Parts: sequence; C-alpha cells; structure tokens
Amino acid sequence: MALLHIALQEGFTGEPVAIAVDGQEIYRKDQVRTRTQIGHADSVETTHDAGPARIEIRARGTSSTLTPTIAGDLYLAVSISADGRIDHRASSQPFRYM
Amino acid sequence: MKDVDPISEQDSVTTDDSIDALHARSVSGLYATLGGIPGLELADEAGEVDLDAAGPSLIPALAGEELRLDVDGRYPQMTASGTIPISPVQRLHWIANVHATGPHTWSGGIWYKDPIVTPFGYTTVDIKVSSTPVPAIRKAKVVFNGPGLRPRVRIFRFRSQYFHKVEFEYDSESAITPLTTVATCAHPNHPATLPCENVSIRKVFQRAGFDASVTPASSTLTSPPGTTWSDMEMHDAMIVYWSKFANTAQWAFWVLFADQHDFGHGLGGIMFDDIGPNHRQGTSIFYNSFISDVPPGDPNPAAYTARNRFWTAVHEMGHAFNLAHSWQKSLGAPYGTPWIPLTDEPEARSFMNYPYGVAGGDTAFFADFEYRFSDVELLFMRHAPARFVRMGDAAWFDHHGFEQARVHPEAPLSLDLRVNRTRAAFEFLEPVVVELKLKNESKAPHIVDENILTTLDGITIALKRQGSPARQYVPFAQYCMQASPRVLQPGEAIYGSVYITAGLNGIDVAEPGRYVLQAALHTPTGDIVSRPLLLRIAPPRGYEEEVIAQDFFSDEVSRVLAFDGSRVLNDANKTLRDVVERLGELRVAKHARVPLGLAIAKRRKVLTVAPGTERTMRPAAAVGGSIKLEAAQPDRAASELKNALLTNADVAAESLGHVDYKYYVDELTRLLENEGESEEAAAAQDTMYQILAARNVLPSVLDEIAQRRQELTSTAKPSKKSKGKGI
Repeated sequence: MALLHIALQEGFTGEPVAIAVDGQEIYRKDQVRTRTQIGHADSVETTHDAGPARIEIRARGTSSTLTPTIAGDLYLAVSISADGRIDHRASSQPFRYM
Repeated sequence: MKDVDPISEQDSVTTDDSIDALHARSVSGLYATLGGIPGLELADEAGEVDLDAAGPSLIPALAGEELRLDVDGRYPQMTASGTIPISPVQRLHWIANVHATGPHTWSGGIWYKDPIVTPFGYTTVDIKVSSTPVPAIRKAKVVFNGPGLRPRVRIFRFRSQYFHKVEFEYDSESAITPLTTVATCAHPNHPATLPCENVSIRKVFQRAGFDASVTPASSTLTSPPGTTWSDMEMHDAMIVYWSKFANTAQWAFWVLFADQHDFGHGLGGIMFDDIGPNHRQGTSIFYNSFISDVPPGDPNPAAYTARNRFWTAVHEMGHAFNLAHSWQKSLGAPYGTPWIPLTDEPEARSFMNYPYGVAGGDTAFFADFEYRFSDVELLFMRHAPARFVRMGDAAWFDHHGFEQARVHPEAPLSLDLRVNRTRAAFEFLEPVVVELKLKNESKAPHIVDENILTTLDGITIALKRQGSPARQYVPFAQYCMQASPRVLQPGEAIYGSVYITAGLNGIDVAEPGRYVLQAALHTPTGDIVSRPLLLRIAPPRGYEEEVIAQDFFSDEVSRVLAFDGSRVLNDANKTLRDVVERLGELRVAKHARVPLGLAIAKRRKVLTVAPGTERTMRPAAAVGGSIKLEAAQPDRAASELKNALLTNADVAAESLGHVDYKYYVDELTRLLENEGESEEAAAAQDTMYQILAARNVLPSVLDEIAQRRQELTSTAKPSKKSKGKGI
C-alpha cells in the first residue's frame, strides 16, 4: 500500500470541495480557503494499492479527474487557477510550506 | 574565505559602528521639511539651490512633509516618494519614477497618489540635492509641476539614510538557539560574484532600506516536551512575551524561534498573525521541520541547514511587511488587491520565493541568490503608503489619528477627552457625549479663549472604529463667537461637552464595537494632543432595539439630539417618542426625552410656508411665508425633563455627561421657576447637588448649585400642588 496525499493549495476562496478516489468519497468540506501566507488550504491522506487510480476533485462547479498509476507514495497538489481551472502537480516528495 | 559559526548574532539596538553602509556617499534616504509654518521651509539656507517663489499651494502646509529619495546606494529603485499633510488626520502620498538629469538632479513623472481623489494636480517632480558630503546639512529641493499650475517648491532636510524604522524582538523556545546570522559563502553553492560576509537578519532589512534594530530584551519560552504550536497559542504567547505588544499599528514585530507547529514537519515557518484586528505582528520559524533536512550528499550539511534556517526567518519576517509569495503577486479579490498592478515572479531569487519551487529547485535558486528582496518588493517596502506595509496596520490611516501632529514640546496646557463613567462602555443606541477638559499645567497664569471648548475653534477630534479608517468629527454647527479671553490660573481648567455620535460627516459612533477617540488643540507653537480615549458600544440586546435603530440612526434624529429639540422635524420627534415608549428603560430614552421636552419648554419661532407647487426656490416672504411663534407646553415639557433628569438621576448624569446634565437641570429649573414652582425648582437643584456631589464634581460647581438652590428656597411660595396642605 502506498500513501496518497492530496493537498489543496492555492486559489481556494471558501468554496465546497469534494474528493473521490476510485468512486469512493474521501473528502468533503463546505468551506475551503487558502491561507495565502503558506499557500495551503487543507489536505487529506489515504492509502492505495499499486496500480491505476482514479481521483476526482470537484470544486467551484467544475471537476477534474486524474488517473495516475500508483507506484509509490504520491503527493498531489491541487490548486485553482485565476481563471477557475483545477490544476494539479504530482510529486514523490512531501510538500513543504512557509 | 573565513568559515563562520552561523549561530546567534549579538544584535542590539542600532549603534553607529554596526550600521551597514547602505548608502555610503549616497543621497538616498528620508528627508523632511521643517513644517509648521507655511512658507518658512522655502527659505534657502544653503544658498546653493535656486529658489522660485512658490505659487499658491493646493495643499496647505499643516506639518512636516516627507521625501523618500531612492536613487543610489544599495538596490536603488530610481524612485522618489513623499507624503504631504492634507488635514490634521490625513496625508497625501505620491510616488514618482525619476531619472538623473545632471549632477545631483533627478526628474520624473508622478504615477501614484493616494488618496486618489485629492485635488493634487502636479504631475512631475524635479529634485536637486546639495552636493555636501555631510549628511547633517544635506538638503533636497523638490519642485512639483503640473499643467496650468505654478510650481510648488519645497526644501527638505536630510534625516536618515533609511526610509523607515523597524524593530524586531527575537524570542525562542528553551531548546532552540536562534540563528540570525549566516556566512554567505559557507555553503559552496552560491553566486560566484556574491561577497563573502556574515549577514545578519538586521543587515538584510537595513539593505532593504530600514533602520532595523533588535530589541535587547528577548525571552525564552519553556513548553512541555513533545508539544507543538497552534496559531492561537503563538498569538497568545506573542501577547504575553513580546515586550512591545500592543493592539495597534507600529513598525515592530515579534519573531518566535520554535520547535514545531501543529501542522507538522512540513511547515517551516509562518506569519501566524492573521488573528484579530491588527495583523502581521508575529512570525514563527520551526527548526523541527523540513528546513533542517539536508539532502543526501550535500557538501556542507551544517551550512545548508544554517542557510535554510536563516532564509526562512527572513521569509517569514517579509510576510510581516505584507509581502506576498513571489508567485502570488498578482493575486486579487477575494484575498485582497495588489497595491499596484503586479505580475507574478515565480523565478525570482528573492526571500519571498520558495527555493524548491523554481526551475532547477533549490540548487538553481541558491546558485543565483544574493540575499535580497526583489525590486518589486523593495519598491513596496520603501515607497508604498505606510499603512500597507507597517505591521498591525489595516486600512487607510489606520489608528494614528494624529500621526503627524507637531506635538508641543513643553505644553503649558493639557487637553483631556473623557466620559463621566468608570468604564467607557455605552449601551447600543445610547448617544455618546464626551467631555473636554483644558487645564493649565504650568506654574504661571495662561490666557485662553473661554469659548474654545464650545466653538471647537482650533480643535480637531479624530475617531476610529476598530478595523475601520479614522474619521474626523465635524459638528453640525460651527459657532463664530468673539474671543473671550480668560485667565486660567495654574491648575485651573475649563470644560465642555461634545455630542460625538454624529455630525456633518454622518453617524460616526453608533455601530457596536470598539472605538478610539483623540483630540488635538492646534496652537502656533505646537499641537496639544489628548490621550486616546477607548470606548465600546455594546451590541443590541433584542430585536426591538435593532428595528428602532433603523430610524434612530438618521441625520434628522441626530440633528434633533445635537440641537436639543425641533418643532419641525416631525419624523425625528416621532422616532424619539417611539424610543421613549418602547425602550423607556434604556439610557437612550433619557436622551430622547430631553429634546422632546426642551422643544416645547418655551415659545419657539417657526418658519411656516404655505404648501405650494413652485419648482423654483424663492424667498419665503415671496410665497407667503412667515415666522410665527408657537406656544409653549410647560407642563408636558416639565414632565419629560423630570423623567429624563430627576428619575434615576445618577444614570442621567452619567449618560448625559456632567456638563450637559447641569445645563439641562438648570433649564428645567428655569421652566419650573417661570411656572411659579420655585419649591419644585429648588428640589431639582437639590437632586442635582446630591448626584453631582456623589460623583465628585468640583466644589465650585457644587457651590453654584447650592447658591441657586438657596435662592429658590428663599423665594419659594407654596406651590399649586401644596396649596391647602398648610405648608
């Protein structure tokens, strides 16, 4: 089992956010807001078997689906861009904030 | 290269030998006019600057103007900025890009002014600085030009090589040794051209343009082993441990070196203070976090860690100056608005970027990093309006009602702003009446205008609700009275009262919350400034108060309260009647009864105009208007006033204020006396005497009341009510 860490980072302004992994909802909050001084809003962790995963993120009336292949611990940063797009960035290393 | 142990610097309050040579042989820095006497600053004492006669100024000289010239020395931004007092509580802020036009001269266009609506038509500046190498006698001449305007000329004296002052206090957990100095070349990955030196945090901010000092008093915090810090705990610790903590804006902030945040290993530091009304006063750095991690194979792990810890401390402190991360510069609503349109700087080699966030990661970052902030950040820190940068500040002219007052160095008088109650807490809807006291503090008699606390001539009152901009109180009426000189003996004082809730500026003190009030008396030799008066308006206690408030907080009602009654503002009178009937137990009911009673206590002149259909304004006489006398209703008036003033008289004296309470009881007394009720009039004076004596009012005032009571008692005849009772 590998760690799947999903960090909600820039661009959240108090909106509801929901995250589902392989169709199972693992996160739902009504108000998610970025603390701009650290560029972080919230995060959630789960575990996942090695192999393909389907991660769906819903926020601001839109959704984004990612289908990474899990091979080890995965850190996924999710941000909302100025034009309302859901952006993501994957890393094998933990995120750092300051 | 000297290898330096990057441990704690022995920083203390600025001393000459420790000042970084930021602007050696430079002219950049802070300049200020003498201020105070308009025109005086135009004199050319140096004789080397050709002065033109200044034209009529759009902006009066109220106090010193400032100039920040940024054209040489460390990281010059080729910018000039300045502030000009435009009222006793407000400054105009301007910024210009400048370029050299000759030896010691610069010119450029003004591209920023704040507030933007100020009628300041000047669009360019020409600046000439005297060539003297001696800072103490250096001067700058600034000529403001604008289309159709005569040049506005100001001469400034050099004050400091820095643009602002700032003070840090470093506190730490007992197991942490704060690292506030680093050797720039201790780690082999650095720019080839980077000077190898020991750089302190203080020096970084000096180079950014700040006269930075470190508070000598630092504290060590002992926290239970294995515990981490929440933002709330750090905020509480800041209040307890920071020797300079105040709920106010100041160029100072607190830095905590701690073990770990509740967030865990992934948070290296945080500007935690986004709590309460005064933000950005506290930052923390966490040594038990990723900033102490060293990548495998690093050639100098100790230097790598030291650099990370140092860098993180400056980064968090940068947030206290309101600097955003490099990739957030353009971020707008709902987070806030950039002070000027900005673009992101995701690759900036600045303290405000994440080193691991740039292309090539932190190896690429530190290969080009010069221990500095970016130009955009330096422009903001040095030249943006202070309220945007200063720690604890919020909106325009936040908090500092008399920031630029020319405080009288040896004032013979003191001005006191106070309320006649132990705690300055007011009920919701309760009108706020404050008392002004002007006292001779010298050992010699002093002449003052006896009416000054009535006319408020030369007195400014600033008021500010917490979290809102400051406002200047403007009374509904401006009295023009002949000056009446009065000799104040040493220790003697005169008193006045001010209905502060509302004025021509609107309703200033009504919303629930905390307020700060401050008054200043402007004299030719300097301003006499009162201590700030802090007061609180309680929230409404029920739905009915909220409903009535919608009608009560209106211009008409405010005018009726300010002028002690009206015969024509019927809607306002109806609202006041509503207050009496529905909220009779509240203090506001006493305030409502006073104008309702006084308006009908005597015959009053009223202008009557027959209803017409004219659309053009014409003289009242031309449309049949006339001034008529409306009859008094003494019984109803006396009833209202007795209810207001003699029932729960202590509450009345407290809420109305001693000065106004005495005035109103004297009016009631006169009304009763005129109605032949001398005995009742004497009783009113007696009640007032007892109440004010218990409230420690001056003996001279009590003597006056006693004398009036005696006069009324000696002339009292059996009243209508006591007739037939053999009294």
